Amino acid sequence: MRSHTISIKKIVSLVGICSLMLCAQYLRAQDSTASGEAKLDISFSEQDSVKKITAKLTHAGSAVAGIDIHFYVKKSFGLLPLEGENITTDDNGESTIDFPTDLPGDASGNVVVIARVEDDENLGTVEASKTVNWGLPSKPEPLQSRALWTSGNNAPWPLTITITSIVVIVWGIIFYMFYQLVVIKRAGKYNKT
Amino acid sequence: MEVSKIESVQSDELLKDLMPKKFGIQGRLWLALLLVVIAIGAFAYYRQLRNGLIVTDMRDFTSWGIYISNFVFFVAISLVGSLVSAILKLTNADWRTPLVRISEITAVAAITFAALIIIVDMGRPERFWHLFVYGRIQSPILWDVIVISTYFVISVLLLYIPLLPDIAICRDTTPDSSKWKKRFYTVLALNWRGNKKQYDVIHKCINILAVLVIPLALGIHTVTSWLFATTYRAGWDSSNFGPYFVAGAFQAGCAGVIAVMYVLRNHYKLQKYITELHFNNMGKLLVLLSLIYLYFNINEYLVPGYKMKTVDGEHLHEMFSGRYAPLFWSVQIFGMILPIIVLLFRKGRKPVPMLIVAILVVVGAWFKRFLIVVPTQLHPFIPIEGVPESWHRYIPTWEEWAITSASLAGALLIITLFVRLFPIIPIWETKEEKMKINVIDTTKQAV
Amino acid sequence: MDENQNNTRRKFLKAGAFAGLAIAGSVGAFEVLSQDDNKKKSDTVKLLSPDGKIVEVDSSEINPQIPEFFVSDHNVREGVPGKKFVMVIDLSRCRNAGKCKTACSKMHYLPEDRSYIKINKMQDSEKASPYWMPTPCFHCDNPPCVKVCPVGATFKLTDGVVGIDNDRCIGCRFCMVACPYSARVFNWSKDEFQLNVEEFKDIKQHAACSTHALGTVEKCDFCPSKTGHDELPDCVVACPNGVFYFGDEVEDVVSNGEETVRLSQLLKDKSGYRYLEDLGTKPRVYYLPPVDRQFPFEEVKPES
Repeated sequence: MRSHTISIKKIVSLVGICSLMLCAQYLRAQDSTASGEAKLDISFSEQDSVKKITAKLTHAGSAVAGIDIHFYVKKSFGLLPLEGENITTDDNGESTIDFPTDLPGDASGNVVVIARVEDDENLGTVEASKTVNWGLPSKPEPLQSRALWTSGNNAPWPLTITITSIVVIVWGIIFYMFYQLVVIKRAGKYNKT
Repeated sequence: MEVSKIESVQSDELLKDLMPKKFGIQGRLWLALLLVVIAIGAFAYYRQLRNGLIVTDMRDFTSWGIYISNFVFFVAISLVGSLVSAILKLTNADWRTPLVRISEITAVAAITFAALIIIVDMGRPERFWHLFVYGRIQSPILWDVIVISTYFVISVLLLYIPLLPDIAICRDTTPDSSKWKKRFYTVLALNWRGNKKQYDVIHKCINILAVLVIPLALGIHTVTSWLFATTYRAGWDSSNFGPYFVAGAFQAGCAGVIAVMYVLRNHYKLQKYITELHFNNMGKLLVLLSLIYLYFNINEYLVPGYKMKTVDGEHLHEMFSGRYAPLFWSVQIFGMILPIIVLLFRKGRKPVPMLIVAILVVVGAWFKRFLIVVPTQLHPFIPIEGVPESWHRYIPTWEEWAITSASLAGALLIITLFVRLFPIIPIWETKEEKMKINVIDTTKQAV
Repeated sequence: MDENQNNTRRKFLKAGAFAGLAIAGSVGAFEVLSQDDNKKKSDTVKLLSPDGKIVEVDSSEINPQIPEFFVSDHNVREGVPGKKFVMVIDLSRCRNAGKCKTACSKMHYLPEDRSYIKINKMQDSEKASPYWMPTPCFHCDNPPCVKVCPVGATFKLTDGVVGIDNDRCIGCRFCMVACPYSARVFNWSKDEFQLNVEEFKDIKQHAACSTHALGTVEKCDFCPSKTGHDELPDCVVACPNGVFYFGDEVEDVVSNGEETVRLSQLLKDKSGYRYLEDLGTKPRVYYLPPVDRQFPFEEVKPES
């Protein structure tokens, strides 16, 4: 009897713990680490002014060797793959790739690096991402402020000045003509001959 | 004594001949015809407002059609005001006196309908005010709006100011019994009494306006040509367009005035005032203008024709020997070459041949503008493909013809109504001319 | 013995229920945590049915393939901040499948033969080989259409896109004749776009998208309702051959949905060029020449 009770309690707690662990695993996966037990850690280093990204693949605490790791930089519309020669993890579970020197980042030069194991038989898909300030700071070139294609208030100065002067002069003369009509009218009031 | 007697006899004669007369049968029929054409056009415009511009044959590739070519035609005709009022004045061609008002009212009527036909062409005419509130000064359309409205005002002034003494004559000869008529003339006459100060003022004004209107006239048609020349299209991308259009405008306007003056002369029996001399001189002027236009045509076609760049070449090929060749050659021959040949001879400068030639030139000018506006759009850089068959052509619909005809009828209506209300030949300027001649005569007699 | 067995059963059942609740609870937590934050909750949405009628559909039934419009926060006359959009079209891959036109027409509620993208058969010279060339609006940096607009109804945004304000447009069509690439179309009639203009007004649209208004001009707008939140325009996604690359010039990266490449590298390796470069319009769409074709040129449109 007692052994039964103990085993039932064991079952219950096991089930509860399992489901809690499932939740925890899922939550950790949300946080961009592996579902399942494999994990990728990204670290950055610089050697002889060559920037390197290292990803360490561990499975249940021990390094995994011989797995291809793909490196990407996250961009607006897709993941830009980074070229590298040795992307298979060595005995330490590490794989290193050079970071290109001329890649633009955001306005402050940040880039988001993603390391990924793609659909391995045992490990499934493992992914990690980290931000690093290795990109070139980039900003879009501001548009010309005065051009033929800007808004009407921002026309090139020569154009605005020329047209305004012509209009002012010619319409000045026209208004002078209107005034002369008034003069004619006045000059006829007292029937002078 | 003699002089003043001659003067008063002449005055009475002048008044009898030149004062506006009521419409007879012919005049009423003419009015009725114009009003019918306008009514049909108004109905067609109503259909256009309701259904959108789909009632025209304009589609995405030929997005400018006969409304725009009609607009260019009207702007062209309107240059004649400056030609006769200003250019001939500054060259002291005194024979132009009877023709001044005819050309000025033609100019005003034409420029009015140029503005109206542009509104007809707009996809959203109720947003016309956007041009004034949101206008972009970098746009050639806005330059066109500025110059056309300025030219309109100046042309009206050039029509009205020299008209003042004659309005006064109308006012004075209208019996008090016709109250509205009298009121109308009195208000417009601006207290004209014919005193020295008033004459001085109008002479000064006319002189200033005559100088001002010339660059403005050149301006309106040059800016209108820039609506086409500032684009990349074959046949439009030409630095020659400004002078080419202006030359064509003067030629077409001159012919227009010849036609109008013939009709008025015959109908109102003005043979004493618009004499064969006038036809002779206008004929010579038309030859000169046609020769200048011929020169610009040669420039416009020979230069790209020599090179035959890809899309330019296709366009020229179509004009010279393709789909538009019959129209192109008819326009060039009847609208330009024939006038030069016929009018070089004295016999050709008699009234009747001149009328025929003038009508040919005006009709040719209308179709020439069509040839400038439409064929180019059928040769874009990216070929027209994958669209309905009808999009490869442009054949105006009845609505477009109706509205265009209505605009022409409207311009003629303005001229007709003006002739009904005011003397079409300046009475006071004719008097001045006659006085000058009398003085010379009496001086001669004395000698 | 029986009592003990009963007790065991009860305890087992209790435990089972408890375990079941624990599992259910964690699964429920899983569900809640996996919710997409961006999903907007609204009751019904107006959509265009396949036979051209306006229908009201419960928003929960919406298939995510149907484009979702959104009203963005950023100033629509300024564009998506910090970006400069650019497109690259690979002519060696185009075989006139026409899926880009279909997708564009669907996205913008256009009849299929009036899509903003045109695909033309081009042949550069008599001896050269013909090829298919899709042309959207090039969103030029020196845009002739923007220069000539008298009322500022078309304008250049900071993100490189040339936009149209259909409420400002007066329908003069100067921009249409000024564009050397025939990129613009006009709303000649109300009936053309299968939608009554009044009804269309109720659908909230990204203000920078071209809208259908009678008597005004429209054109390709680089799908601001997509690019505004990092999604590729519909033509790029719909092309089965990966012809269109789209991206940000500032990031120097373009993508066709499957391949993401450095823009400068792509243009350098494949000798990218711009159509009619010497007109000086500075287009933002590059072409990769039709060499090493994926498909031989076929005159007849392939079956879809």
